[in-house]
Amino acid sequence: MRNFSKCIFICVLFLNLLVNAQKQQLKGKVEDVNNRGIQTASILVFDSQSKNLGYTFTDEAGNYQVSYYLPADKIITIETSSLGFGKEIRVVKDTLDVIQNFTLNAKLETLNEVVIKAGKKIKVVQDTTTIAIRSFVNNTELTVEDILKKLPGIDVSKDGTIRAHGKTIDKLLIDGEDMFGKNYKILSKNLDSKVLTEVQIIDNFEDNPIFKKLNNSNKVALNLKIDKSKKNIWFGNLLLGSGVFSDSRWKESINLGLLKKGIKFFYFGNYNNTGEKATDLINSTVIENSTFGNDRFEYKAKPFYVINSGEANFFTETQTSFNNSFLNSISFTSKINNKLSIRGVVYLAEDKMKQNSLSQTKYNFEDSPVSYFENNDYVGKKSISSTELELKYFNGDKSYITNLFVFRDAPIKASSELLFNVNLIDQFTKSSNLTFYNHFNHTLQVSKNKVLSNYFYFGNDKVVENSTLSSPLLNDFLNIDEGLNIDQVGKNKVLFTGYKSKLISKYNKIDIINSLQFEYNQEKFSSSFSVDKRRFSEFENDLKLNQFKIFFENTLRYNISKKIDFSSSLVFQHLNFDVNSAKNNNLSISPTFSLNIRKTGFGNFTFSFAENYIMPEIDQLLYNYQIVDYRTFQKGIFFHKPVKESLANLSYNFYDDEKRLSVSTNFMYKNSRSDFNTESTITDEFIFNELDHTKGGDSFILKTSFVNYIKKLKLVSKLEMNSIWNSSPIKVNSLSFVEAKSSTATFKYTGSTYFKSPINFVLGFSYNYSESQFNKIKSQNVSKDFYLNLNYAISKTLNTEVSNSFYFIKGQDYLFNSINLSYNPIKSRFSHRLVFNNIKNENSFKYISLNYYMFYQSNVQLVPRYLLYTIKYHF
Amino acid sequence: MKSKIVIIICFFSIKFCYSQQGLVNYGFIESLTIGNSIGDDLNAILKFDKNNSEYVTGQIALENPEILGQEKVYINPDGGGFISSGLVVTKNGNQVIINRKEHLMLSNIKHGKQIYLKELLPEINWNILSEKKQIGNFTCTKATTSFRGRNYIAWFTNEIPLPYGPWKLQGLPGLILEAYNENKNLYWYFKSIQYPKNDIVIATDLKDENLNIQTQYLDINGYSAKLLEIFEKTYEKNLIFGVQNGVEVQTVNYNKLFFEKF
Repeated sequence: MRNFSKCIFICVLFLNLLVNAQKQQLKGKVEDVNNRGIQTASILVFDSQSKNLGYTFTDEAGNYQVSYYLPADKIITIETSSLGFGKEIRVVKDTLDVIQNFTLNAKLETLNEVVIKAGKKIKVVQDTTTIAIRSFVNNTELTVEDILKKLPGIDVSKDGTIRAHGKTIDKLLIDGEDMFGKNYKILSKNLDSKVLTEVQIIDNFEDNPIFKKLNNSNKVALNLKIDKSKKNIWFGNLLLGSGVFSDSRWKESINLGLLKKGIKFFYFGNYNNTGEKATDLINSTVIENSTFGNDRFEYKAKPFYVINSGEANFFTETQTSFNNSFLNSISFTSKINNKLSIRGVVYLAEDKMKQNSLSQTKYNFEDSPVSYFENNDYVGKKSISSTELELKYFNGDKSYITNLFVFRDAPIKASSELLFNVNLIDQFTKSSNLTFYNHFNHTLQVSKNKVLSNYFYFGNDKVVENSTLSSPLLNDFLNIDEGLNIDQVGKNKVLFTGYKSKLISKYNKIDIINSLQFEYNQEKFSSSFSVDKRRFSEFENDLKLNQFKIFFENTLRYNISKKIDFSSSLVFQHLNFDVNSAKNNNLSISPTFSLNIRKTGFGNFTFSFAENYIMPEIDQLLYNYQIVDYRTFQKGIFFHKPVKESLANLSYNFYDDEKRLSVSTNFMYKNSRSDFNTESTITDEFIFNELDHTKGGDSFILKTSFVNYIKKLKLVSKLEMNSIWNSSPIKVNSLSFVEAKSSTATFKYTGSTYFKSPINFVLGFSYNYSESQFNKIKSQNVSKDFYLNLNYAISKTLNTEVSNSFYFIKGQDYLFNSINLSYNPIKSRFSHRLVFNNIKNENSFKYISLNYYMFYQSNVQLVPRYLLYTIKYHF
Repeated sequence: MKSKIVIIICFFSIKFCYSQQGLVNYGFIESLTIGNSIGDDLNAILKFDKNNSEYVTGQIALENPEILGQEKVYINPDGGGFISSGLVVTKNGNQVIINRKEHLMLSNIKHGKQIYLKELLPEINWNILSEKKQIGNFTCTKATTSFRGRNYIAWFTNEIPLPYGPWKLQGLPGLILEAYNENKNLYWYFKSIQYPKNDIVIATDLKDENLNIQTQYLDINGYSAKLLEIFEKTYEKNLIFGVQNGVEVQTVNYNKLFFEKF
């Protein structure tokens, strides 16, 4: 009974609710004061909480009908309005199905509202493209470089050079600040990937605020944006890694950073024996001859004696380098006041290398071919300690002054135990290299469209090298007792100073640049060659080269239309070239032209032509033979005139919408009317090279790529072809120069899948062919490689990358496979990574190179299989 | 006499009210590939009176000729990116004409060739929410709907009680000032309004760019099939361009990107 009453109660309740929630009809007419129906008047029905219950518009006669659900309190508000009439709001209570008529008063209405929209989520602002990195990464990345490799529009080459939007970057900034200058690889290869939130590609980048006003730059820079939570506190990470299998592997690093408004500071420490070299991160010299920006000239002294390490660059460093690498770097920037800022960097980098290689070299001479084997055990130590100090002063208006000072100490020690056929040869070399450069720049805005730049520079670079050589073959050649060592001491010192003044004028369609440059360069090059204190003056040189250069450069760029521009430049160069007091005066004119045609129906074209005059380097002026490695003697020329070369370049890009293909082609032709060519005499034991100023050669370079989308396979294919043809006169073991020809061709296919699944593939194939022809002897070499990479996001925290590369070289095949597994627990300060490198354990590979008459084949030892575990603590 | 003058004034003022026309300026960002309202920013206009409206975007005359051919790289913070080789504009632009009296809607879109659609004015089922925000001096109310394959969010103001909006979005009890779909592949934002503005002509029919040819309208089915075909071609084009220029192209769902799904 009780249950029955409960049921009745529930039913009544539901019925009540049903009645209350019943759809109501509201209808009526909206008229003006003259009882004319108003068309397209809006009728809105609200409840007492202003929740919209329904709406409609009146028809042509002004009638409307709207349905709505009656609210619980049975109170509705009806709002009627029409453009050109006043609004009427009416509250209606306790009523069902009502008729509500409205009479609206005419109202002259004027709307002239303008809203400036702010905060649109557009991430391309003028020249800056901002990339939030989180969508491009899978947490297997350790450093900033690992991230940059994955970002659209950015390429990182094998040596760490970064390209963005097709150009090599000028600077790598961190939160807008240049901290490492040209040595940005230290930053990209060491800064922890986790602190990064965004990367900005800055097109038309210009560091100099005065040049920036002219908006002529075509440089590109990258800006790394650091996580906001890292601001104003010390942050960083500590990485500890250890590897097993084969030799023990170590990888330890520390990052420490502070980013405050007035000061930015970074410390990077790294130790590893996994093939990542530290000294490669530091640039030795910079030469920049920029039309629209600041210039930088740094000249380098040359080493005398080279011990070949036998390392091949065919694979990656982690596959072929046996090293112990150590890096310490401190960098800071600080704003002294609003106008003056300072940047300082100190580096200490050291690489200890051990390489072992076995090689065979063949010289293909018709009558008497020469062939020999070398088994080389190389040990080397290269250190660089360097400091850079830069001051920047900007008065906030029309004047900008910078001064950059660079000091570097880069000693090298290297030794090798080498078995040359059956002869044991020991080599040892120790060199010191002290460098300093100073660059002072003053940029002044003369008027709205004119900028004057004054650049004063000077520097000194000095190499002192002591080499000791024990070679029974050399002793025999020099007629000295067996067992005696040969000592060579070489000194090369470059001292230079220069001044360049440049005026840039910008008009409506024309840019004009006039510059005048003076430079004095003094270079001393001397060597001593002795055995047991006995000097051999026939293998010694003492050169003093003084050069005084005057350049007068005039460039004009004419923007014919938005699609076409033409630029030309003429460089008048007067050079006083004084070698050991033998004076030579040269006056030359070098023209450059370029024509750009963009966005036509047939594609984009660029054509350029340039003529250059090239002076010999000091080591091309050696008057006596100089020993440059354990079996090569080198001699230069007696200079009388520079080498002249012409360069023509044509590039073409085309994209066809309908056929879904794109073509990019670049063709370059270089012709040297004369050249410094080599006359070689090659015996079973030695090589004697001597330079001669002879007829020049030609070279053609053709690069083409073709991209196509295969819809059914969801595959984008890229086909590339690169070809180089060279011809130049060479004289080897003969009485006259003979034209030698060589060519290389590379055909490469790359395919990337775009499946919806978390698994995707990148695969590729390349075919490399090289051929050389000299004295009717033809040599050919073919290598092929194939790679297949799989990326699989197992979960949000667990990611894997599997890489497989197959190489086919001279009947041998090699398979490199590696697995990279990373685990990044959410909200943990620790992250973990496991790298299984060279799983198949390939231990050596055959490297082949061809050069006209020479065939070189080397068996290079490979880094054996290892499993490396790293744990990183972030703070 | 006085009463006659009052009547005449009233008559004219009423006549004036009835014949008023207005013009709304919008910005329109089409970002079919990556969304997040990242893409070329085009100008759009909406001309209206009581019965008719004409919406135009992608028209040469609406854009600054200086920036038409500017190449830009767009990167989505949430992934993906594309390179635009400049604003896509035509002489007549992409238009939507609404005739409320005859319940008709005419529209066109250019992808290679112009495609024209004639259909009954669609009744969009809007859900008006209580959420409000200010756009300039206008208080706007949020409304949502699902229309032709996308979920849209619109912000309308009943201070301008007109059932119009950008593109085909209409039927709310006030002018739509801002609208976008969930991923912001299509994003319209309000710039300005001028009312009254009687020196404008509201088109009532679409003219073929080649004036010698009669406009050939497709029905919904024909239009739907044509758009699908065009979109697939566009996607493939982007993919190739991306690979050639070193820009990563994200895998996309054709249907999600499809401009209109019937």
